[in-house]
Amino acid sequence: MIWFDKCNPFPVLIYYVAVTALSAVFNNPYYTAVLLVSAVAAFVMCRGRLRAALSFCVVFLLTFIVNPILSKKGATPLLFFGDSPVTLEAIVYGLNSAALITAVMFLFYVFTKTVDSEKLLYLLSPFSAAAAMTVSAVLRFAPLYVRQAKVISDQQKALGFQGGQSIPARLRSGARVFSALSTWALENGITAADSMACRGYGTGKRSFYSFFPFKPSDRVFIAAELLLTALCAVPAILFDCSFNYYPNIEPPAMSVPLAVSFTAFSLLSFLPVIFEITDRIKWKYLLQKI
Amino acid sequence: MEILTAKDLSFTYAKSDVPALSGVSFSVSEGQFVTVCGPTGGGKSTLLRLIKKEMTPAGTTSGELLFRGVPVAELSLRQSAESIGFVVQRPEEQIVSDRVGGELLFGAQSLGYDRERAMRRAAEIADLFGFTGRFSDRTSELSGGRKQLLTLASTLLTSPSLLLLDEPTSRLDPVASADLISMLVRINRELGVTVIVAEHDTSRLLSVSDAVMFMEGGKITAFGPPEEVLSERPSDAVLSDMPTPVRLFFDTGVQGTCPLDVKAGRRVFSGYTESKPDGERKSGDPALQIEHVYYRYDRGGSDVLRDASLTVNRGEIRFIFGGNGCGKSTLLHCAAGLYKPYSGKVKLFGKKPSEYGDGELYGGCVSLLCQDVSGAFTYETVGDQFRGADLSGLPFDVTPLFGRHPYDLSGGELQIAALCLALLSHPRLLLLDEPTKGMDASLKKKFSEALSSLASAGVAIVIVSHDTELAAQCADTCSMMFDGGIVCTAPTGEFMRGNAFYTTDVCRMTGGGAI
Amino acid sequence: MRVIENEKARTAIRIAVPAILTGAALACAFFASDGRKYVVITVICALLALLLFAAGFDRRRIGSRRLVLGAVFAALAVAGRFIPLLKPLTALVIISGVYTGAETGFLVGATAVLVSNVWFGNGPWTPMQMVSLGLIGFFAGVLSPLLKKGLAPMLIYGAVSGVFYSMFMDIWTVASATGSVSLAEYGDALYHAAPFTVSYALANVLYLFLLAPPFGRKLQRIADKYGL
Repeated sequence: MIWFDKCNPFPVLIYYVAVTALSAVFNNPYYTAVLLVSAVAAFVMCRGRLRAALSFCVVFLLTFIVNPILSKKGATPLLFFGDSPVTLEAIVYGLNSAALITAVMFLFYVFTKTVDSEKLLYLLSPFSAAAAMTVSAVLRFAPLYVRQAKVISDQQKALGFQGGQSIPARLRSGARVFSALSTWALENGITAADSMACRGYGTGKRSFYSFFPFKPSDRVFIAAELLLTALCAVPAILFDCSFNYYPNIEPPAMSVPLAVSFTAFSLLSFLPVIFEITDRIKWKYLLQKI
Repeated sequence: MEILTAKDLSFTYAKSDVPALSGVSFSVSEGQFVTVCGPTGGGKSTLLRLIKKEMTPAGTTSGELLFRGVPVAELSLRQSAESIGFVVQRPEEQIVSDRVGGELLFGAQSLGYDRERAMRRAAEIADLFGFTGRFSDRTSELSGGRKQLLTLASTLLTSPSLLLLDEPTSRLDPVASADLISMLVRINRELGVTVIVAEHDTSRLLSVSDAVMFMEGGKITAFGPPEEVLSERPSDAVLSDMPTPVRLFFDTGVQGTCPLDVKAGRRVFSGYTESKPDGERKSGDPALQIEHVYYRYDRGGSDVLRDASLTVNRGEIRFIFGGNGCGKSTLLHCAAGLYKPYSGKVKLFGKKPSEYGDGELYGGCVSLLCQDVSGAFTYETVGDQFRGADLSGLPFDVTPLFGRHPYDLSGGELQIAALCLALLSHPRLLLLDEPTKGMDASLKKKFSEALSSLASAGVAIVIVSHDTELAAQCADTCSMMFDGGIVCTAPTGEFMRGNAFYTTDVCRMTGGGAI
Repeated sequence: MRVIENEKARTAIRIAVPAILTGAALACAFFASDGRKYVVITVICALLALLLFAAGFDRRRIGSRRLVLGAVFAALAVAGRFIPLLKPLTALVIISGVYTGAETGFLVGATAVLVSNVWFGNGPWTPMQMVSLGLIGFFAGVLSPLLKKGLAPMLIYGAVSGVFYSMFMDIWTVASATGSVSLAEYGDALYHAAPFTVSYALANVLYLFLLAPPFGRKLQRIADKYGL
């Protein structure tokens, strides 16, 4: 997903918020299915790991089971679990929720791959400079502490201070390493804070420079997603397009507004994939010219 | 025009009765390069911290300290942040952003510079320091030397006119510290920034300084151009921190002007010779055998150790030299059995590390002190760490340190306390990684004597270091490491004479006549 | 990219917009009779609460030391998750709230979750987790005079916050799995999650027992040494 990677983080964030919110509000298996397919396509395009995909499938199965067990609604009992009924409606509903959650897991996997810490800060900065500063410092400190914890535990081991392999002994030595790490971290933290003060932190309003320009393609992306979101949401608000599960499964009647909404949603979900493919074609064409 | 003037300046820390600075007077002109030196606790660091009001510790000040005619305490925080830069000892601690760009622009952002002003300055500074195109690199992936340069670059972004540095090279290897100092000289000469450096190791600083300041016991004992100050013999404590040419000049009593660096020293000492045994391999049983070892951190990574072989006998002191990232520390970790090589053999006293029983390996066979020895201390006082231990056989008396917190010790004291911890189990093989960091010359001498007496008791000692002077004092043999392997091993004298860079200054000046 | 130049107006908007939207979202939750939009509403509420906090937090200038101290705590909480057998996240959030104040406590809780999820996986549940741990830190700060009195109040607070965290996150579990939040289903979910709830509470008590006293001493030392 090179195109998505190079995109300004704001439209990317809007995309995620829009598709997850819309599909959750509609809660319609057809919408959910489209979202799942597009999420898997994005996952494949960003070269997601097979192991991650397998773990999402496990999540799918688990969520699918939860609803029929918990929910006692629905008019069509298929089998009984002790004395509680498992209904067809609850199964269908569970299938939809499971697919929705799995789609969101796939989407967030892609999100985590495209929105790195730098972009996260960029997204956070307009809301709160202090919070962004804190997150930036945490992002710097956390890996540093993980490394230092290893250094301390190696050093302790090499001096023969580490106890045996039993669980209480390991817990004790873990706590000792963590305690030493904390002393180190607090001590260094003060130096870091003083160095921030030396460089003028807190003397006035902090300015913010973005390294992510708004390219023309980002504007197109924003415009497209806002338009599609509106096209998807407005017909659904004006006309009743809701999918009823209980007591009996009742899909909304086919109508023009529903068709518009569904088409807009499908286009919106596939927007990054579409942009990625056109971008690939464009580059192929550009390369031929070069 | 004076940029900084002190008149009868005194300072006493909040919880102390003894003044850390007493009656200090001096003035520094605009554009000068000043080196402050003297023993630990002499007041160098305190003086620098008084000049930068954000760093001033709790305590009482008397006398006057003026920055461009304005008392330092009356500068606004903004003025102080903008016009006085401060760089501390450990670069790792000063960096607060996870990316190079964020760190570089930190000061400009804090002072609310607009984008154009900040980026213009950032472009210049990044080009000067070689950070162009590296803005989105992670700061954690930079080497120690680059980290220190980044801190310096970030400090310079707001165009300070005075730059203060508190022992900036004490954590760096010789190559990186030479880089840093040549950058400081450029900043001083090309940008006109006044620079004040407090440092133990003055070997590269003395010849580039416009003035040196000797501080001892909270007082300035001498201040002026280096040639002038060194026209007579300084006190022993100050002399021990001076570069080798200066020390040799006063020790040998040669006539003429005092040479400030190796280049000048060559003229004075070219015919000088001194007979000293070369050192030799000890013929005891092998204590550590490393045979064709290969190691990498993960399967996809590149080899850190590549066909490394090394044998150290009982009673031998072996130094290993080599640039940063050549695998020295990894080799020590493998020797201590902490890392398992994927190919090749490591044997300690004829047995593989895995053949030792639980608690046997680190309870009398081998001890390792890593580069950052603070990891050895997990309690709140030094005394707690030694609780119940038998202190009789230790080479240093650590009991005076018992009441103190490990982080309140000086660098040298911390190293000594850690060495004693490592000796508690009476190891037969001692592995040390840069053990003399933060030690002043007199402590270093005691340290090398302690190592020699351990070795004569049959302990094998392997030291990874950049400290050629220490090696010349106590090593039997030295090895050179390069690109994951040991490329040569020789008795110390032969090793030093054969090298151009990893050798002592004396050896360089005398062309091998002495080491 | 500054749309509104006036500083005060911008702050006002930053606070007002999430505040109004939170109200609107809550109103929707009450009046949406088909009870199907709970997932969206919970997530939106959580997000808005975070924005509201962030905007308020920015208005108060906090010194570099307090900010870094917060970052150190959050980073320790994240790093602690990598040490075998040690999961000190909630315990550290509580300690930081007690010693560095309510706002910093919230900030530590929220950022610790956000950053550790960079490694352990962000998702739509992230805002909920951020809010719940943030609140745990916040109330630790509010109750700080009480909690500082001894280890026992601290341990009790740890147990209570373990239960609170589990109950709070179960709202999300129920909303996302069944689409509606009826009391019966919520009760059922709480019943099924009881073992987890108990383990959260016990873990918090254990880690607070291990960590709170040494951290108190460490922070006292830092305060003495550097004059905080």
